[in-house]
Amino acid sequence: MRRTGLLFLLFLILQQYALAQVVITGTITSIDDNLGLPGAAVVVKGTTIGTTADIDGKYKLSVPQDATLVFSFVGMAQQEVKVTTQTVIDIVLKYDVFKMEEVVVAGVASATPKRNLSVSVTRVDSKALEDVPPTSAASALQGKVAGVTIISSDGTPGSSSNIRLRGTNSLLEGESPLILIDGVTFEGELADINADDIENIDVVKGASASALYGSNAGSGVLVITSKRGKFSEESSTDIKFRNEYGGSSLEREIKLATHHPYMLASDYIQPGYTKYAGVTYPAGYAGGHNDSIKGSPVLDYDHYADNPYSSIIDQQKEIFRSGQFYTNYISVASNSKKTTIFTSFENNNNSGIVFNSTGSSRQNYRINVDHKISDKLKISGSYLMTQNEIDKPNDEGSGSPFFNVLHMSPDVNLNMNSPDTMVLKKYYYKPDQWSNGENPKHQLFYEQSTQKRNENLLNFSANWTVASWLNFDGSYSMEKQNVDELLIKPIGYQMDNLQDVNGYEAKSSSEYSSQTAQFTANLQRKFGELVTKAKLSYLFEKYLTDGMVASGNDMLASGLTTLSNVTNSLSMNSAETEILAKNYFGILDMVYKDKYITSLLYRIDQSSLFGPNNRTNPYYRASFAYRLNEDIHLKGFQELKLTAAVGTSGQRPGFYYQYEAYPIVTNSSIIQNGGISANANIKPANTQEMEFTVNSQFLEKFNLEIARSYATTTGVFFQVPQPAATGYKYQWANAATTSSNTWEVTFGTQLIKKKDLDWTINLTFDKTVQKVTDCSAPSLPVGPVINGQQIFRVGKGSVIGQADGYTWVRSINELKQQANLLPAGKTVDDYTVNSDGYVIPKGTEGTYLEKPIQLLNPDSTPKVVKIADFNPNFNLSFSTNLKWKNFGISMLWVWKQGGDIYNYTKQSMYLDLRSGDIDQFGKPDYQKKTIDYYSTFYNLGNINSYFVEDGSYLKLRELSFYYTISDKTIKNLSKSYLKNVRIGILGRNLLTFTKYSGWDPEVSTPGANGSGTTIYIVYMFNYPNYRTYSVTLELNF
Amino acid sequence: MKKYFPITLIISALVLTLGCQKLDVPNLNQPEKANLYNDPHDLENFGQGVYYNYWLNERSSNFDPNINILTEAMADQYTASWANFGWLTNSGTPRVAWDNVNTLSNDGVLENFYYGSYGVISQANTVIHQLLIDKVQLGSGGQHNSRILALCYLVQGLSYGNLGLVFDKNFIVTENTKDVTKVTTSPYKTVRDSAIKALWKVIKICDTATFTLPGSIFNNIDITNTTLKQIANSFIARLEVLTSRNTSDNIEIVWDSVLYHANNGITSDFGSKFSGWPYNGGTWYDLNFYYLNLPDWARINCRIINLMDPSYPARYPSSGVAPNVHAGLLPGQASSYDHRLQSDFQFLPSVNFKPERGYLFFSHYRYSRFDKYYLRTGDVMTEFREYENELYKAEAYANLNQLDKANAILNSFSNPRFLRGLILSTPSTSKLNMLKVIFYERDIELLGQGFMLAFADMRRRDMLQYGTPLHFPITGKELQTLQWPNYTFGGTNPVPDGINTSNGGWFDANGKPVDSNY
Repeated sequence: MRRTGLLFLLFLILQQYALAQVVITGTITSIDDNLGLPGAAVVVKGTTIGTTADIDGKYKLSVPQDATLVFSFVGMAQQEVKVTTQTVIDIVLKYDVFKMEEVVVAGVASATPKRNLSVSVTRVDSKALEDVPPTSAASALQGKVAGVTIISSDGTPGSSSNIRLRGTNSLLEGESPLILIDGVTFEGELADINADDIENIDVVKGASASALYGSNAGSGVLVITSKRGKFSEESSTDIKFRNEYGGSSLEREIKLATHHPYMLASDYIQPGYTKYAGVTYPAGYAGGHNDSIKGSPVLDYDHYADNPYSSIIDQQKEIFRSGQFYTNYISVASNSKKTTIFTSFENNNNSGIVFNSTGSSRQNYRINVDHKISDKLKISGSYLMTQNEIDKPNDEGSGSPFFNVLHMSPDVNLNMNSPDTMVLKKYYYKPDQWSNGENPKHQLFYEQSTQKRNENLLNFSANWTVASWLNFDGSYSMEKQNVDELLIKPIGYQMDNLQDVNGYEAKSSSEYSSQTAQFTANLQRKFGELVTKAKLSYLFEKYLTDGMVASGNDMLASGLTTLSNVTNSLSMNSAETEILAKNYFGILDMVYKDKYITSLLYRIDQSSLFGPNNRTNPYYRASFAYRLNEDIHLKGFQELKLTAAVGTSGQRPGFYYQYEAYPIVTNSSIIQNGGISANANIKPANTQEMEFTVNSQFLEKFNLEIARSYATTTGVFFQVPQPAATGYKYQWANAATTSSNTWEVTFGTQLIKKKDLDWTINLTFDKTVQKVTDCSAPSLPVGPVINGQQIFRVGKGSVIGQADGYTWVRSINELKQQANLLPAGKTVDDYTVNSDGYVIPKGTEGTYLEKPIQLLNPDSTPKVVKIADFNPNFNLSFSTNLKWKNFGISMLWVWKQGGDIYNYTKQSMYLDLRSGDIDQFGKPDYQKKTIDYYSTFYNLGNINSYFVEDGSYLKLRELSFYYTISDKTIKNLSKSYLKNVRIGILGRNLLTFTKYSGWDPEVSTPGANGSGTTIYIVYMFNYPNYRTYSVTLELNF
Repeated sequence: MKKYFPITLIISALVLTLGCQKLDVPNLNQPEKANLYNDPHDLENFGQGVYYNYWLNERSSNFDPNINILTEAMADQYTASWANFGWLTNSGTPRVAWDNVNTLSNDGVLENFYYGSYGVISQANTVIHQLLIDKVQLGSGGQHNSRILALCYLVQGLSYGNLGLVFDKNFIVTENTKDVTKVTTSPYKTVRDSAIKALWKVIKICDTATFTLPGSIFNNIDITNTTLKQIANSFIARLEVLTSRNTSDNIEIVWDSVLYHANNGITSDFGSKFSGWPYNGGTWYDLNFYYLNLPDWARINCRIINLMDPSYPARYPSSGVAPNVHAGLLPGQASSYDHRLQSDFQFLPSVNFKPERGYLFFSHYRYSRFDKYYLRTGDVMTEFREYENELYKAEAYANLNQLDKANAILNSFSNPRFLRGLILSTPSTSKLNMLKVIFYERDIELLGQGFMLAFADMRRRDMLQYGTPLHFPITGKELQTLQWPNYTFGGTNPVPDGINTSNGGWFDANGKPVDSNY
């Protein structure tokens, strides 16, 4: 056998040399400027014979007489030319508008052009981020990739967006993908990563593509690569300065009531307050809580909120102001023959839009170095340090400033001083006698709440080429993240009248660190027309967390932050965890005749997070692609590729899932009984995905990619309720099976490509349907806690992102179903449907007796039904880029169609009659509704269908105008080293069209475990998103 | 190739080293079950924590809603028109059925207590099992076994006792239960008997062993076996009396037994020292004191003010206008010969509850007796007042027609009735009037203390408002987990039976208080 193999090899070699050789020369130039493309590649198709162009774009290559030459260059479309009788072949390369030649490294054995991919990996490169540079990596993907759901649920400066790739595979709201930055597994905040340094982001969407990343990649992977210097024969240095300065503001206010239903005194207009009938005010009273007030307001006879206040103050303007932000960025990229260095610094400051908050101040420092020790040995290092100091409101949700500002009556003066007896003089904490609400300005002014985040990412790697077909990679990565938080309520601070006022301080410090080491053998070999690439790899992971928190009361002195300043109720706690994982994998990618493409992968993961009875879990992938137009030349098509892939990846259990442990009570000598039972069998959730893709380029202008993904996740984690008699409330278990299927469509076209005019349009579309197909537990609540309840439900057959709640009878036929539950003596005929479409007792419309009827169970308790589905019907984004001479304009619109929002903010406002809905002033009498009517819908804060709103929106996410002063012009102006100058005007979140009645329809609320989410679309008093507008100046040297 | 050999060797060594790393990572933050049970020191600390867990569960741990806070309003002792804790839904008029679905915003009111109680019982059972079955020795030569055993039986008894006060039926799981999943439910009286059985075990241990439970267990003073026995006796007296659902149950009370246990009960207040509110880092606190006494949150029901000032309306005027009761006093202000009206209650001339939610929730009085806890100057939060024990004695004597002995207790100068209320004489020596005094004292002096006192006192006299559930169903979540049909109590449809739902009430159609149904 061995001898036969050698003979066959010899035959192949001889066959190569048996063919006549011819020397081809030529020049490879760019269509853009007709200048040579140094470094452009020319390769004999199907072989490793090739060369690169010199500094002028010239090349020379000896090739077989009937060879086909393939010319390529980064960012340019590849071209093939068949050699016949020519000896000179000059080539003009066009830009690769559709990026089929773009080389992807994520999820595959080694660098692979997109056309040879057999799984879904989408690249967003720096060019796509340049026009409207994202403020951080957190928002870099918004609207740019089909199948990526990004929700900026929180406008707090320094907060990250919530990201989901395709369907969710988790019921625990943490569906964010695995993130790798320059090879480092990143667990920090993407908001801390500056986008100016990003070279590209590879979005590895489905489980089949992410199988390479195993048990940590069930939700997909984002591979972020930063910019580096480029090796070149000639030394050079590129310097980029970018400065951006702009403002920010709330796009719109929530409509609030400016009338009330209480009886007025005849002299109701008073300075600082509204005088109600039945109430006696002390002499000199000018507003605010006062224990000397006697009596209480009484309802006006008609119960309509149409009586005036003595004055109308726009309370939202009191806490929201125009903010400002700026970014200063510099990068230097230099290279010598053997070494490249890329280094950068960014300073970003964003004040946000809230009163007395300085927002986020972030600095990023980066250095990336590559060095060739020899032709066979290359080493690289990447280091990123970030620091972000954030000053923000202490709280969101109920009781926060965002809650209180919406609950203040319009006649309340938030700027009034406190009574003389109080220590803190400004913004009296209780400015309204008739409300429990606290003064939001008091909170924002006196509470000090800061967070400091420091992040260090480090990667060392080496590549050793042993032979042309074999090289080794070794890398060591480290992440270290420190988060310090401080909360101070100063001496005298109080939010209710019985609270002690001696000051409170809480300090926490946490450290997260990870270390990974990976060793990889890369093999590539060609067997005839079969090109094979293989990788064998071992990855070791170690993650450590260590956190401490301490707090205390009763400060000795004002203005200090040391914990020794607090003298009472001292409390401390700490926790540390260690997670280990070992992973082994092999991947084999094969391309035959450049048209049959396949990838096979097998991986074994072992992790300390897997229960002791399930320590090892396997993953696999098999994918196949066929470039149809290589065989069947369909007219008008330049590319037509069909892809099918199947693969698995997973999600690791949480640290505590496997332990039968008991909590120790902080600040006491007590070991408590645990509420959660251990599970030694816990194993990673396993996502299996089938993916089918069609990629096409046609009519030289259009690019269309359609992807269909079917994913099933088994062993989804869930806290399964236990019978109380067991002594446990829950057990973590692999309790559910979920499925999702996604349609993704990406369409691009370069409508015009002329010398001075370039117009491109891109559309992305996606639609995901996701549900629970099996569940070992009955239908149970998940997600965020809203007014003491979790409204989202999971159970067999339920939609992921479905909410249950109470609802109302909307027709007489519906009422007939519960006719036996009507009050004694009443029949269905005694009811009618009112003008809002709710069933009410006949003859009560417009009176305080007009109350909608609730849908009931047979035992007369309110019936719980599905009231909302938070999944959109589809997402669509539209981006366009128009360049004319030196001018450029780009815009990005995003459209979310359908998908509900539960507006708990509005429901809560119904309690204090503050929603604009309740204001009846100016309505004709026959349209008026009483506060009793609206209070019925408030329903004591129980979740009900009345507050489900359509979450559709169309948003102008990005808009930019640029003017570029080219190098020629600059050189004419001066003899400086300046290459070009870009001046731009940018806008983000400029316009939103929606029927949603809150501040911004892009909302979600973290789940019970605090993780961000894209599926729990509930609004409850968060820091709102806001618009920004800015000018930018970029200088390139 | 040779020059790369060292690198190859290093990489191979690293892979081998890392590849051999074991994946068993300990949990360094919480004691693990296996270690805990095997280490007598850890097990003893685990056992010592049972009372704290019991306390926290009964008193709203970490701001979770709690059934006791709700029933104080359902008993019309407090009043609140806020939706929190199910107040507004469940304490209005007419009363509605308890909504037993687990989507209710206040389902935690019942759930937290239910699951928390079983968690505590499980902890106690585990320790008892380790001591009795696995023969673990605590302390040198097992010298701490008796005290920890007694403590765990005490908590097992108190937990079942409280479950029996709240629910119509429960699962009884003890240290001897082999398979907890096969246990069926027992009706509330059986649950009470199980509680009393456990408390008897405490008494027997205390009779045969001498020990002292360290003060850290109760966050108060050291408790000797003698005192622990008294505590167990008092709780038995309480459970024997308060478990009654109606007057029929109440007639069945064996007053000789109550008297026996009360006579062997506590001779001083039993409770734990307050250590601060949870948001201040406190661990021993009573959130009943917190939520029920904040002036803007909850106030004292007019029914209670009316007890002290019979001319004061027992229900707030439906006009919403503060009642002018006494000339010279402000609208809404009451007057009483009982000085506790001034010392324990604060008059507030204005009401900031929402008129649209009904004036029936209005009140001009709040309970100010526990304000010291807001300022973190409070001391002991009494779980069982000596006075409560005295009142059981008095009630037992009255029911056993030993009126002179009852009278002696009620007229004792050492009682708060005299010391704090400055009430010098009992109005009458008739049994009925004596019982009225006893319930008056329970309403005024024990207000806001203990567990379910107000609710239990009202239901055993058939005085809870018509339609009020007399006890609660097993929580909807548990029923769902067990896949049992849901059920509930309360409301007026079906017609209240007086067994599960009150068919009595404390006021007539005009809102006037009726005589006790006792």
